[in-house]
Order: sequence, then structure tokens, then C-alpha cells
Amino acid sequence: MTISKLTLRGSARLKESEKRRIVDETSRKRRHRKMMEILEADNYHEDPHADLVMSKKIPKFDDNLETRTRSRKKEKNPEYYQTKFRKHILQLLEEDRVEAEYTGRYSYTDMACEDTDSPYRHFCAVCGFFSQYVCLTCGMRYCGIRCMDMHMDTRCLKWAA
Amino acid sequence: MSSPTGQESGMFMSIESKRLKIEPKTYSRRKSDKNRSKRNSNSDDLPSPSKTSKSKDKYVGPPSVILDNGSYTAKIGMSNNEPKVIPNCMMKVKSERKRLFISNQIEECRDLSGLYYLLPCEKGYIMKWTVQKPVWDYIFNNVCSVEDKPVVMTQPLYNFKAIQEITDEIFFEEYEIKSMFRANPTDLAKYEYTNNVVGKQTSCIIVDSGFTCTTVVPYIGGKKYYKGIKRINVGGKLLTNYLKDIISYRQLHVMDETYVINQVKEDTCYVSSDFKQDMRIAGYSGEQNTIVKNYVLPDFNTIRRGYVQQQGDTSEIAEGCQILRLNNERFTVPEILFYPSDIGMESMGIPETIVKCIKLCPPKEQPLLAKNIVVIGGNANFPGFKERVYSDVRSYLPDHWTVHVYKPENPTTFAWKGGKSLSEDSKIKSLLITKEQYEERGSSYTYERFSDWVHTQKGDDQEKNKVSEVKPAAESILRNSNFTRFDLFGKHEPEGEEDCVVVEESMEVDKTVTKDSAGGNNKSSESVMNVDTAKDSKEDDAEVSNSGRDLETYQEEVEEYSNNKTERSSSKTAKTTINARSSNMDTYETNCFNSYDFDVFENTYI
Repeated sequence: MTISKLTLRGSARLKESEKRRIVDETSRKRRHRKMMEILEADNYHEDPHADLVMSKKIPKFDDNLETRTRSRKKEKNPEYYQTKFRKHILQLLEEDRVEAEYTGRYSYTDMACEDTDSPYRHFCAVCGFFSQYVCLTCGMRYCGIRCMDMHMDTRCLKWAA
Repeated sequence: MSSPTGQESGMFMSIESKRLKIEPKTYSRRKSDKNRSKRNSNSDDLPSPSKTSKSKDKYVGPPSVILDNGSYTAKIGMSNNEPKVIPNCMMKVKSERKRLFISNQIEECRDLSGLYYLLPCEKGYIMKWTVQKPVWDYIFNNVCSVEDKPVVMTQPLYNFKAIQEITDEIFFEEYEIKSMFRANPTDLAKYEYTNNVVGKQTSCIIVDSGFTCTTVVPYIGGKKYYKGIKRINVGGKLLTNYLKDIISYRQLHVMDETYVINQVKEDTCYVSSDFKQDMRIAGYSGEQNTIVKNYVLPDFNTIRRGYVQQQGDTSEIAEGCQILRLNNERFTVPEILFYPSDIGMESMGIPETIVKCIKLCPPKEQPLLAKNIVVIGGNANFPGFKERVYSDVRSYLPDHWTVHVYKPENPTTFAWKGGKSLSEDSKIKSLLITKEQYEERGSSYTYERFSDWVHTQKGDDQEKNKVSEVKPAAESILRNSNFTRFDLFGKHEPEGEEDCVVVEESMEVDKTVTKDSAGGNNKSSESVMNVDTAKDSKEDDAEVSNSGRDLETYQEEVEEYSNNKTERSSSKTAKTTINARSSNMDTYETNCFNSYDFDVFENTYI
């Protein structure tokens, strides 16, 4: 009943502590996967020309190619090859794996590297130096009080749904 | 890591001085054949005893186009020229709308902030033809003409059939090139290393650390040892993105500035030789900290390219320009190559992978591999990279092994150089596929020829090991006179070796077959005799029938083998038995395979 009273008075600290929760293993993994995706991405931002209407303004790749002796007839649009190709990398990898399994040859999947034998080193998520402490809420690491505060204020997942 | 440099230069010098004699010959191609072969055989630097003087002949064809088609930069040039390193992508910028910058057109652009990349490759494989095609169009029209010329180009390991088909179509049908040869960049690097660096055939490990990933490829007896190949999913792109991420979190928001941060990475990052010590130094403040550097970011107005600010020199900094303070970022970023686990990747680092790779190879070759580690690719340009690879690999391996890491003068263009020297080798004649051949046999033919992994069998390695245990096969291969013809990339198995493998295998099969039938007989007699033992034998029966299925196919092979033996030459039978083993071969593929065999056969006697 005291709590209800307090909420009426609107203590921000208690409200926070109610919402605060410990991030479970799956969402920690999800966060890691997301980070890896960002690291693998070609670009972080959106295509700056995405909002342009490109219909007639598409740059002509062969504008300045008058010197070419190749016959025009044989020349094909890049789109032609893309539509002919029409494949995704994962699809190709899977096809390759199946074929390799069938014929017993080596394939892309055989190249994969195993996990390391040496113990993982741990770094502070804030400053990048060696860390000794783990955030109880979200599992990220920090090295001291200063970095902990910074972490709590910024990247800690305590508010994440 | 103090002496090897001296050693290396010594070795290099001696080869160089030998090579110098040949050099003029390369350019004056129109001299008579006799003369050339004489000269070359005199100044031969390949100690392989079986080697004929012919194999070192300079190729008398027109200069070829060498294209190392990397996922970030393409290395392109004629074989009688120097390579050009240009971006293999299209780019968009915020400031100039309606315009795409293709490849090195980007040099015309003034404002490179927020550069948006359109990269043709995913995981190193060409996936976006709408990007790759215009880039190639641009390159071959403006940088280097390709029409009616032989082309040597690179493709990633396990390049998929669909990709190779499109590549064939573009080059043969649209660009109308004369002939083509495709190889993995590591193949070319290995060629360059064995021919022009050490000057003899030797087993080696090529570590190619590029834009998308790092591959470690061992070469034994001139061929890829497929069992040992490993890939680490860390490349230059991941490092740049990681640097971008930590700078954005700690200092300025630069998530959109991949291009700029890539330059920051290239200008400031280095591989630490003592990680813990460097961490300690980076923790100091003031004068003691020798690692911290200020980097002036470009504003694309007065500063075109960012640079490292000299220490104590703050006067020249114009007002309003932004500065990054780089401390432990300088060495923790490249450190991911050595410990991917630092960012939570479940993967080994480069040194550990090299060691693992060595351990997977036959014991006899292991010390030799440790002595011949070659690092290539853009990431090898990090200062201290080679030294770190050396010291880490050294710490893993036995004390009495010599470890030597070779880093070429320019790791980025080393594979290209390999392509160049290959195109000047007479062997190239038998490797190239001409436009006529392509038109006659189609893309499946080129796929067979350029994808040596198609002919691998997972079991083969063990069998080969067995053979080498019985008698040192590696040496016998080198002495085998046939070997020099095909030893390049193991596209074609050396006949002698392949033969003996097959023979042994068939013998094994024979034995097991007889055992099998004997077991069957036993079983039937037992079942009559005793009920109790019959139960046991039923279990046996199940096992026998399981293995029997495999054996049936083997039996067929054996039969085919013996049939063929009478008709054909032994080398061809070896191929056909292998053919039969990979059971899903379509008929047309088998046909093409045979004809390809036949062709190679022809080629060898040209």
C-alpha cells in the first residue's frame, strides 16, 4: 500500500526499478548477432539516392564509351545478367553444400573455422581496456565505476523490451 | 624476427641476379625459340630434378590481361605493365545526386562524406551483377582493353557454378576475349612465391587476408591440400566497421563515414607485438603514453584527406576541423584478426588457424609448411602484421622447427604479380581455354577446368597419406617427369600418383569384396547349424549388407577399371574411375569430362 502511495507521488527512481529487468540469454545473443550484422554490412546508412526518381535519370554507363569497337548487338544490359542469375548467397551456399555432400567433395562449409582453444579476453565496452566486471542487467563488460556509469546511461539494455 | 629479413634478401638477390639475365629476353619476344630455351635452361632457378628445360620457356603469345577481382579493389593491368589498384564498386555521394561513381571515377569527386558503397561481392562471391558488370565495362573501356586478348583472372575458392557461368558469358560472348584462365588468388600467390621468391617447388601456406575474410590455404606438392583449408570471417570490412562503431560510441558519430574511417584505419592502426604492454602504455596519461594519436578528419573543403597530427603541433589546425583521438583503438582493431573472440566471434585467429592448418597436413610436410608461410592481402599492410604472425606461430610450434613468414613488398598486388609471371610461362598455353573451346563445349567445360575442388574426394586425403606412408610419394612425384606438366595448381592430378592411388584402392576393394562374400557364406552355413549363433550372425548380416551397398558401387568401379585398362591409357582410367565414384555426374558432364581429358592429353604433346 505504501507503494501505491509512492507511485501516486510519482517517484521516478521506483518506477525505474520496476521496469528494470535482467536481460536473458536469448536477447543477449540477439544483441550480439545484431552487432555482427552491423559489422558485416557494406553501409550503415540508407542509400542517399533512394528518394530520387531514377526512371529517366539513370546514368548511362556507356555514355563515354564511343571508343569501344565491340558490336552493340552483343552488348547486354547488366539487368540481363542479374535476372539470369537470380540467386541469393545463402541459396548458393546451400546448393553447394548439398552437391558436395552428394559427391563427397570438399565445399565452402568445410573451410569454416572452429572456436578458439585459448580463453576469451574481456574488454570494457566503454573504454576498450581490459575489464573485470560484468553488468548484472545486460551482461556487457566494464572496467570501473566511471565506465559503469557511462554504460548504465547509454548502452545498457535494461530498458530494452 | 631479426635475421630472416637478411636471409630473405640474400636469397632474393641471388635469384634476382639469375633472373636479370632472362629479363631482356622477356621483352624481345620475337627472337628464335631455340635461343631462348637454351638461355633459360642455363639460368634455371627451379631445382626440381625432373624439370625439363622446356617448362621454363617464356610464352610467346600476346600480352595478357591480368585481373585480380577482389571484393573491394580490383587489381588490373596488362602482363607487360604494372598493376592498377582501383575500387571494384560503385559509389554514391550525398552532394552529387543523380550520379554514380564507378570505380576510380571517385577521384573526380570532391565531397566524399557519407559515401555509399555498392559492392558487387557478398562473402567474396560476385552476387550483384548490376554492379559488377558496369564496373567491368568501365575498367575494360577506360583502364585496360580486353578484347581479343588472353585473360587471367582470379575467383574465390569454391566459386559457384552459377557465378562462373555468368562470368564466362560476359567475357567470352560480350567482351569477346581470346582465351581465359581462372585461378584462386592464393594459387597465383603460391606460383609467384615458389617460382620467383624461393625459386623451387616447395610446400607452403598462403594466408590471404582480404576485405571480406581471411583464408589459410596449404599447398603440398604444388596442389591445394583441401583438408587443411580454413577461413576466418574477419576481413578489412569488419575491422573498418568495428572502428566506426567504437569511434561513434566514444567520440563522434561516424557511422555513415565508411570511406573516411577506412582511411583512418589505414593511416593509424597497427598490429601490436606485445598486446598487454601496449594496453598498459595506452592507459597512461600525458607524455608516457606514446600510443595516442590525434587524427585530423577531412572536411572536404580545405582538407581533402585526413592525416595524423604530429605531436605537439597544434598550431596549423584550422578552426572548425574535427579531430579524433585514437588511443587503444589503434591496435585493438587489427587485434581482431588475431583474436576474433575479442568481439565474441567463435573463431580462431590467424596464428592459431595457421597452426591448426599445419597440424591437419601430413606430418612429413609440417616443418616445411612452417618454413614457408606467405601473408598477402590488404590486411598484411598493417605495420607489425608479419612480425606478429611470426611470433605467435613460433610460440605454438616445436622449438626445432624453423618458422619463416614471408610478406611480399606489396601484399595487395602479390597475387596479380603471380598472374603476370604465370602468363609469361609456357604452361599457360595448356591452361587457357580459348573462345572456340568455350563455344564448342559451353560453360560446364570451363567449370570443370577451373574448379579443381570438384575433383576432390574427402576420403582421398587419407588414402594418399597411406600411400605416402608406404613410400615417400612427395619425392617420387617431384621426380616423375609427368609432374611438371600439371603441377601448377593440381587442376590435373599427376598421372603416376593418381594411378597408384586407384590401384591400391581397387586392391582394397577386392579384398573386402572377398571377405564380404566369405562372410555371407559363413552366415548361411551357421544359420543351418545353430540357432543361437544365427542371431549373432543376423546382426553381422545387417552390418554386411550395409557395407555391401557401398561395395557394390565399388565393384562396378573395379569392373569398369579393369575393362578400361585394356582399352585406354592408365591416366584416363584414373579419371574415369573417379568419375564413376562421383555418382551424380550427368551424362553430358561425363562427356565433357572425357573430352576434356582427351584435350589435355592432346595438349601435353603439343
